[in-house]
Amino acid sequence: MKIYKSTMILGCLAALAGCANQQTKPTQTPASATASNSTNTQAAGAGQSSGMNGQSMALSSFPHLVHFRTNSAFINGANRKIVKENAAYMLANPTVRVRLEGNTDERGTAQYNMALGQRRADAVKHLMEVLGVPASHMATISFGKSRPIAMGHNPQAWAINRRVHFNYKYFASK
Amino acid sequence: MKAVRRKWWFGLLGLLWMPSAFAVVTINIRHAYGQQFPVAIVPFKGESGLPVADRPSAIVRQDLKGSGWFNIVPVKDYLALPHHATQVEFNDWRLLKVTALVIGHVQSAGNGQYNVAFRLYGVDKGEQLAGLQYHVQASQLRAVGHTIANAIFKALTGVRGIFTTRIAFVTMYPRGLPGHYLYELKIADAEGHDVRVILRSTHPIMAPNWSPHGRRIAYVSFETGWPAIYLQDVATGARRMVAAYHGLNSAPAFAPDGTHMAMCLSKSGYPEIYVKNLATGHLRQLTFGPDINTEPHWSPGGNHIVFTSNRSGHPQIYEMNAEGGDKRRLTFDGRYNADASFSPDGKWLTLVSRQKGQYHAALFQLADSTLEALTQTSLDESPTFAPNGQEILYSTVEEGHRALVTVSVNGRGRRVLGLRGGDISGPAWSPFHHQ
Repeated sequence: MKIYKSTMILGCLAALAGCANQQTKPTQTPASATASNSTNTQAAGAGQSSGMNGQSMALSSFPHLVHFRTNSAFINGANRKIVKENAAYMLANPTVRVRLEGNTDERGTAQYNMALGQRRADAVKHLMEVLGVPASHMATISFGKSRPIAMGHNPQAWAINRRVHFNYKYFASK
Repeated sequence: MKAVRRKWWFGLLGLLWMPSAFAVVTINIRHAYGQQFPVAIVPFKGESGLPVADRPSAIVRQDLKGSGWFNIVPVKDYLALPHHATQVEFNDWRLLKVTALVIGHVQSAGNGQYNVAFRLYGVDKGEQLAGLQYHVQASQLRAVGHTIANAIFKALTGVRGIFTTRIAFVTMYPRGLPGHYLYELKIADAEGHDVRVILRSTHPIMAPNWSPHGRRIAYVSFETGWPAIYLQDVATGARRMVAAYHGLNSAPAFAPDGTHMAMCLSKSGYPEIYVKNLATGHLRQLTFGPDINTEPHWSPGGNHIVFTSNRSGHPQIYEMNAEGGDKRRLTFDGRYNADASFSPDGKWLTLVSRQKGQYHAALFQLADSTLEALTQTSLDESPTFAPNGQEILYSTVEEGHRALVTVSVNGRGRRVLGLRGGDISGPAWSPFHHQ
């Protein structure tokens, strides 16, 4: 729950959209449940398989979502910090693989949004590479607007849906 | 995941009388822009015993009204309710100032079969413009209504009616957990009835596109966990994978001759437009550069491709020849114009245009580069021309959910298709021949 909230706050800062709106909370709560689930599943395996630097970072100790402005694949300061935390985790756990999943809000056309989601995932991957994570440890995919996690047709929902998800579960479950 | 086979109903029989003289009162659609022609449709004799949804005259009324070209004068204003040629008094209808009159009847022929007949009259000259009789099963009564609407539309406008064509679209249903949905690729008639699911998946399905003869549908499915373009035979359900490259496999678009398919791939590292030869598998890259280039659509003659690119900093519509040369920007109004596709006559594009923060289905006239929003709604996507060029189908949010809406190119006729459940997106309109 905690992780989720901090992610949301950062996401909302990025979107310059008020997040205190009570209406958005019910839709978001289950999202944190999903994130935690995948986190827990992976944390066991990944944590055991590596013990670099004598410290084992819990996968649940940092957010797995970064957010974007409308029609943009630029990663701003607050979200850059999240990417760094994920990069640090992957550097400390070199057996871990991640799928970077780009998504957009519902505005605009479906296939342009597919390309935009891909650009967002690629931008995160590029930054991760700059931070030292081998490209071969990461895959990217775009879902465009086809998998919104917030259901509303309003700026709050749009801000939540403009995201790249660090999916540590995808390859772990293969 | 399963491909669902589809069974087609077949056939209308019989042709009893042909119009004595065709197309006498032909309405010039160009002149009709912004004008609606008053038409009277008398409820057919013998149809009151049928379910309302199966009554041919009701279907004709709904089809013609939805086309946007006709104002259907309400039955309560009629001075008489004729069913046969001998009962028609043209002066009654001249008083109502209607351009055309439709009468007809439905007769049970036993064994669940029916004879349905109609006549269309031009009121000014008092002459018959069209008249046909059909012998059908009860299950085909709706189809007869659409066929009659086609005949009337053609006789009055000179343009082919689209009332027996079909549409493809994707419906997504929430599955409880956020970000988890069930996706269904469906086909329906132009009104949104007779819905058939042709693919079902818990992974996204998107961007259906009809082959030129309507036998096959291309689409993007994520069923392997990754996006790939598939080609599916509509009648048999047989299908094959066309593109599953590293990265994006998106925006499939059949060339008008069906031999090639344009698509957006990002295997080079950037979203670029490619054309694939469907027989040989040969792939050619048409756009280059570190920008987004996607949503290719062919001109009716196959010589040009329009596409969306953000090379200017914002998505705008560009055109190139089918070899990738002579690229030029078409749209300059506003900062978001995307997903353009050609009208059947090649003179217009329909696209999504953002105006004052609202995403509208819009029309772009190629001759003079004018751009005009067609809707009042704000989250429109995937506009697609009807095969006769008279209507545009798109997805938008209606009462909290995505629904399909058609709007006539004169902006007058607007129909929300009566599809229930889920969020509906990515509509594509079939060509005339969809068997």
